[in-house]
Amino acid sequence: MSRFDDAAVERALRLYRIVIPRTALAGRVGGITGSRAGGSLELHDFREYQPGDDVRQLDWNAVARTGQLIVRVRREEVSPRVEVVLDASRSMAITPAKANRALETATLLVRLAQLQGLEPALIVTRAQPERVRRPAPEEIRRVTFESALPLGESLRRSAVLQACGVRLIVSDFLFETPLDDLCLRLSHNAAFVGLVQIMDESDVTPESAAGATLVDSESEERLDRILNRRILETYKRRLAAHQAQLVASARRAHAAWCQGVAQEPFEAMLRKRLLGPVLEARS
Amino acid sequence: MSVGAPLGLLALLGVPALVALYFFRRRSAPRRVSAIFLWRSTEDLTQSGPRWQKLSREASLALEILATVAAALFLADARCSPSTGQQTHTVIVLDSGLSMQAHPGGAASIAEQATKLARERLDRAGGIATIIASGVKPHVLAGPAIPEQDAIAKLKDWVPSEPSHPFEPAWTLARELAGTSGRVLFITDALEKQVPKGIEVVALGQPLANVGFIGAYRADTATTTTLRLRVANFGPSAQTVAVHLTDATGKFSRDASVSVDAGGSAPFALDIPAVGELTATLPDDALAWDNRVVLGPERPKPVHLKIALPPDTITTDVVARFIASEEDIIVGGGSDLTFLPADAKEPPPWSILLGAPASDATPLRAFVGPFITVKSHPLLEDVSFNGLVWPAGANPAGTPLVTAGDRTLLSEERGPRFHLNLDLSRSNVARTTAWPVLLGNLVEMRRRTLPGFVRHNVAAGEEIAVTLGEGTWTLKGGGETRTLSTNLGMLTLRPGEYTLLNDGKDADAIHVNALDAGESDLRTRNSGTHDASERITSSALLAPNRSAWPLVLMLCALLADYALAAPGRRRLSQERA
Repeated sequence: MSRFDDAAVERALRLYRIVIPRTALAGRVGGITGSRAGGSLELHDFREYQPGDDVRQLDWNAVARTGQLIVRVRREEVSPRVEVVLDASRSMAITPAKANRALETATLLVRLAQLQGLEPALIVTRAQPERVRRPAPEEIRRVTFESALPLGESLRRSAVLQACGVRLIVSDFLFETPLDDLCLRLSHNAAFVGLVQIMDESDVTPESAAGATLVDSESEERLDRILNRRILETYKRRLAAHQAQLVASARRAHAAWCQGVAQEPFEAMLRKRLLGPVLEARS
Repeated sequence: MSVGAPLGLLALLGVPALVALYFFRRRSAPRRVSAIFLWRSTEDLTQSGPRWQKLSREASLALEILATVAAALFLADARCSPSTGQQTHTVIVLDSGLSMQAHPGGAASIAEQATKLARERLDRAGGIATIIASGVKPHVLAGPAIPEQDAIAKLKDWVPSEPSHPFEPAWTLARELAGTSGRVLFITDALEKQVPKGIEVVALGQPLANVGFIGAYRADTATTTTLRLRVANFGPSAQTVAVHLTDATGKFSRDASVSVDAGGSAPFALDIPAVGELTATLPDDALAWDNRVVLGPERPKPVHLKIALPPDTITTDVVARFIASEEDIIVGGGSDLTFLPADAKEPPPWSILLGAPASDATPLRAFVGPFITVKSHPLLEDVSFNGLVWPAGANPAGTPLVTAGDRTLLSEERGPRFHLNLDLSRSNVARTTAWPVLLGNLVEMRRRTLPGFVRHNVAAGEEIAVTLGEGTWTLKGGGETRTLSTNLGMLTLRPGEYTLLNDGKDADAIHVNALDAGESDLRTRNSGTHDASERITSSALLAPNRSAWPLVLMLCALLADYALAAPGRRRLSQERA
């Protein structure tokens, strides 16, 4: 029986941090240089002195060279928002391992953001998506996967996404949505988007069976199938095509993508799958 | 609702099989998957949503059950109205030959046995039935296609009274009425060898000895009656048969005997003073109807003459001599035929104008030949013109029948009206045979047009010539009264005594006697059965007149089921491919 692995999350907090992109960010005033001019140490631009400017920002070298009062315009320091979007559709709980892995991943990302001084928000995609600012780990753990709506459909119902610095989506991405559109929507007004695809072992390599009634987790649509080798191969081919399309769509939207399997150990999954696209090791 | 082929209901066994298959399919464990679209084929992507798919299995089962029930109803030939069902249509052909009335040794007659068998078969078959009585002209005794109880009720009206006749017309009629799904049963007293396919034959007869009349003739004059009978012996040994004769009044009675060899026949002749209706009988034996003949007076119909000739002339005299020499001619009391002088104005129909009007332009001219005649005309039948001296005057009106030179000697006008251009005072015609033959032909022509029967004693099966005049004519006899059409001409009657009525008054009578050697001969009768060599059940499955609504219902259900379930099946077949 799979359980939420607190210890693994705790260990990961010490090992990883969320990748912060070099591109311009937006967010509340904080310790991260933003995209606008502000009070950080990083130079943003030069301009002529205007009354009211901080005289401490006069660049005397430039004054000497040009004979004009030139002030340094520095970048603002921001505390960027991090949105962790958790797909709460039923397919995410197709097995307890998959549900726990999704919760563990979301918890880790939220807590890493907090540790990095970012402004985390958890977005749970239900029939009406919920946005929780600075969610506590217990709140994340209480999320249930009961939505009959796929992630894309849920996000379309409400403008829950806001302009942010980092947007991380935890989902299995196994739904029939035009992936290009979805990835573009996810990357809109975000400096960095990471797609964390959590899949179950049964999603990747389904078991064969003499006959089965396949029931879709969200739609309850049923199909009678004899799960012989040929049909399973067909399924795998179609899954591979879907994955390839997802990766291509993510690339077109300048989003990072990584995939983890629920039955894989959490630490191994972080190390092998998420490290790089979404996480970076703490120095 | 009626069911023509109950065995077709066995197809309903498919319903529990379908239900069992349905539950067997339901037993396959449901397995939740994250992405069912990855399990669908490309075609599934075009199908309706999940709710439709969810409903499809139950709806498909219901439609398949409906299709199975419809197929069972089609195979069983279910019909809402039993009166039009063809599947259980039983057509019985009854041999209506006179021999069916034979009584074998005190048992029930063959006809009674046939009636009993027909009743049993109809009771057993149920459904609808048609009964055909065979004959020279087969007729539908019951039906066509009426409920079997109604047909059974009609059996009591059946009396086999037909002379020898072929059965093919009755068989053909029966097969046409039965169609491809009906059953045909032929009940007779002798097993037929050449029976068409699809007809079951049951013969109930048995070989019997029989003696009977096979011929009867009567002729009457005013004073005498001539009787000619022929008795046949259809037995194994020679017999001396007693013949009893009696008239209707009982005043005349005579017994005689006739010796007849085995298998042969012997005549019986009798000349007696004129009597009325005569009945000749033989002793009782296996067949009763050929032991009795009834013969009425057989005299020509009288022709009433009207003589309108000038008195005391040679013409009047020779006409009177002819009338005196002929029987069944009555002068006065009517004007069936009128004798007129040549110059008579507006002669009535059926008149003859005698005389040779001469003038200066066309003086009287005598001819001795050659005479040009219309030989086919009945008036000139057997008239010899040899040695005649024929003085003729001006040509009369009408179509020439006899000419000589440029003169018309005899002509016919519409009506008919005849012109005899002959001066009898200067001719030898009245002294030759041509004269009585010519006038005799004229009288017979008129007699044939008088209302009534030409012959008054005929055998069953003979065509009877009858002439009808003005008014309403009905024929009473044989247990019925029927109105005759004025242009009837010939008719065929069953054995019996018939009276012809004109406006309700007796006009004539005829006796129809059952005289048929073929039907009297019971030596070749036998019993047995002959199964229909063509089973109807096989063709019944493809009967074109089977009710089509179950088939339409089945096809609709199958199409609907296809619309529901076909995508899945196509996917499966593609995957298997």
